[in-house]
Amino acid sequence: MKKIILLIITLSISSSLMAGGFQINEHGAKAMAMGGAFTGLADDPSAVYFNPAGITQLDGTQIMTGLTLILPSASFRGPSPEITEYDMKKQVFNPINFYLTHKFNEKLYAGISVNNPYGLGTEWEEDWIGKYLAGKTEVTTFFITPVIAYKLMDNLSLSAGPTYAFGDVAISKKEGLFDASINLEGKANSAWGFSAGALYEPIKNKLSFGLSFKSETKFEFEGNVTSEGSPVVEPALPTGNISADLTTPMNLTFGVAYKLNPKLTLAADYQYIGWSCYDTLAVEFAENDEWNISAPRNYQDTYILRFGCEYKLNEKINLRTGILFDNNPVEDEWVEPSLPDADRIGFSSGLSYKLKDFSIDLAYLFLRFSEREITTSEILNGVYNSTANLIGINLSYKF
Amino acid sequence: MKYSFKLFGCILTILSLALIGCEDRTELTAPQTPSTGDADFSCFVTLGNSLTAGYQNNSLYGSAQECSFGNLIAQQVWTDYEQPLFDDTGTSGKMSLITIDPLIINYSTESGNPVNLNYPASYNNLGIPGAFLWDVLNATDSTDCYTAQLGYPNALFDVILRNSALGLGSQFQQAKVLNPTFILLWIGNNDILMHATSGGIDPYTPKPFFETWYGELADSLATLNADVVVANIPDVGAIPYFTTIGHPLGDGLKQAMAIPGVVGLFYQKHGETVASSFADTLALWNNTILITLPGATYAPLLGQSTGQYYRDNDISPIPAGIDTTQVFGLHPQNPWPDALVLDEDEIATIVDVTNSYNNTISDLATANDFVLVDIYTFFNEIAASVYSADGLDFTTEYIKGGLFSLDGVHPTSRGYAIVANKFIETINAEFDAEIPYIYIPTIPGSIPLAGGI
Repeated sequence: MKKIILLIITLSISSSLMAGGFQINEHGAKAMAMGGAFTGLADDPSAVYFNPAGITQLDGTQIMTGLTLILPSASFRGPSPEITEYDMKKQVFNPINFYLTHKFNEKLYAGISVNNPYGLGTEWEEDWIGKYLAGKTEVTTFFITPVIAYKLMDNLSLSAGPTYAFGDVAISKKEGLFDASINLEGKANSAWGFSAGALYEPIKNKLSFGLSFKSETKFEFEGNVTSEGSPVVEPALPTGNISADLTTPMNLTFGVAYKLNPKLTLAADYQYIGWSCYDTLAVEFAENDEWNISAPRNYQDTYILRFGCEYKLNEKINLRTGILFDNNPVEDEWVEPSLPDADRIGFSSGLSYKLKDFSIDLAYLFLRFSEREITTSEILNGVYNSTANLIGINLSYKF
Repeated sequence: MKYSFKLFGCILTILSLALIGCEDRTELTAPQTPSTGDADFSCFVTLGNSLTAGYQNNSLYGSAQECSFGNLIAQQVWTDYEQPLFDDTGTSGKMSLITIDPLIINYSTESGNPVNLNYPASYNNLGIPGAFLWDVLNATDSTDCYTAQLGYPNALFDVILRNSALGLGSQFQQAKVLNPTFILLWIGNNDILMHATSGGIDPYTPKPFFETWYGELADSLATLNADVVVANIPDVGAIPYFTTIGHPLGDGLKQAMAIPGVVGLFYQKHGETVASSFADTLALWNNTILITLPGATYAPLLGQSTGQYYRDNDISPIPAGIDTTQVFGLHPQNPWPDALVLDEDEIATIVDVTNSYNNTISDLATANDFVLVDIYTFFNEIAASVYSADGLDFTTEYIKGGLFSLDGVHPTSRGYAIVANKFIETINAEFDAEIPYIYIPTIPGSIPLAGGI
């Protein structure tokens, strides 16, 4: 097991980007194809992440693994009267996911998930207009969550488990006075949180409700800063050991799934995200506090609405589609180009193909960010335009 | 079951159509001509001194002139604006940073050349480094400018006014020939600054003279039928030229005070040879007395038996009463020189004269219906704390503060842009205009580094 996890981590060189703030919500092709409306359904091994109580629906031992390819695109023009358009560098991100579930008996189930629920990857052109605000920013996190699920009643299951997480951060940007490059790198080796879920089926095989909770997770990054500039001004440039805390938000999701008939299932989720925990990005230098950074972020709590449906074409093929409305957590005044967020609407579709105990799930999600015109920022006014194409693939096997 | 399939198909089709309709809406919109409201920038002229010229790092040179506040404003309002540009070698004495710690600065001995001397009309930017108030109305060349009368002829008057070719006269007369519609005037700084930078030795323009000359200039400008904006004079005591050396000198004094018999920094008051006064470390750290930037050379000599100051400045013979075998700065007979210090009396005089000049400027602006830009207050606000502009932070700290160039007196390019934005703010308010502000990070950093910036 440990080897498999390590292998997956090693293969996933970089994983990042996209969902409100720096959250990634695409951790399974079935959920993704249904607009992420999966908390009330939670009927494949990715339930360990979406609603761990859902694993009480899974027989035997099941394994599922896959990845999501994220291809974002963003541009900026401004500030008025400047009309030059600056494009964010094209990158491909590949957050991974791995799930394992096991049924011990009719009551007791266990599972584990490994995925990258938070991450960020933005890189602007070297000499773009906001070069003193953002250059290259990368945040990568891995969350490992083992859970126990218990079938309290025939139609009610509960689940909980701790989360162990670790991550990397790398930020490069220009310093304003001498145009030197400042490079920050940090690692957080252990961060802890927990996850819990409930699944209730008032009408068996017809109607189900899900509730999922994920706690805040505080990463304490430690690392160092290096600077590249003229040797003339080197002593004035920030260098040395740094520490920086980053807390990922609490998530509370309520979902409902309704089987209209044996072929068609409808689902909806309301996901509440406690982004207000991210109010300041603070970097402290161990040797010289004159260089300390305290950048206001002032994120607000927000929510995502998700709707999805699945059609069982035949015993082998399921078709899926969905839509999501993701409200961004940043008010205009605080939008900054290392994470040019905006409200998003997402359209998804996908299918699965089952062959005996083996199945493959595919999903495609298109995220359109509202064109965002910022006029009240004290750092950079202008217009951001972003889209993202996401492709998900998962392979599952039931032992 | 067919019903379900149709329903699913229907949902998928609607979402697919929505997806297709969701193409990238990015489009570039050409900006509108900036609204200048009641202000007419069709012929825009600036008058003044080095601050108007775009002088920085002790030199006038092309890439700095590109960031003169007049040129930056002209770009924002889309109007033509000719300047007396030099190449980037600039006028002699351009400063560059060799190392920041320890602080070592190079003064270039090379002289660059003007690049558009043959421009057939007067320049829109008529600011001349070194110009005094009197010069705007009266000076026509290097021999009749105000400082020439004090023994310092200023060749930049010949280069910028070019009267040997044009024969048009002073800054004001050349502006008049251009038939200006909008005039910015920022003058009077040198009338007190030269006194201050000389450690209180060179004379300042007497207050009554300032009032008379500014009155004559205002009367003349009022005849031009143009919009006139004038700026007042910032507090010279808060610029890095005066606030940088006190702290390291205070540190040196603190160490020296451990030696028995050392009581403080002995410094010459104006007119003294042997010092009668001394300052403690707090007076230096808190800028109760101000040490000038050229004092950087002599601060490390504190406590040494040296006469280097007199040798460097060709003061020979050494004045009677001075004994260079005594410890420099710590003994009344080898004191910190008058030219490198503003004592409390001198500071009070400078404050009083500056306030008087500014009252004159304010009164005459009101009387002539000119718009006043209160640079004095604006600069004091900046000096009091950190000034944040478009994500960059500025202070009045020498070099690292980003506002002042290496000469400690003149702004950096971004400093000039911040001044230009202050002008724009006032113009927008007074002329019902909507001129866009300059985005400060687009202005390059302008501290020259040895080996090229």
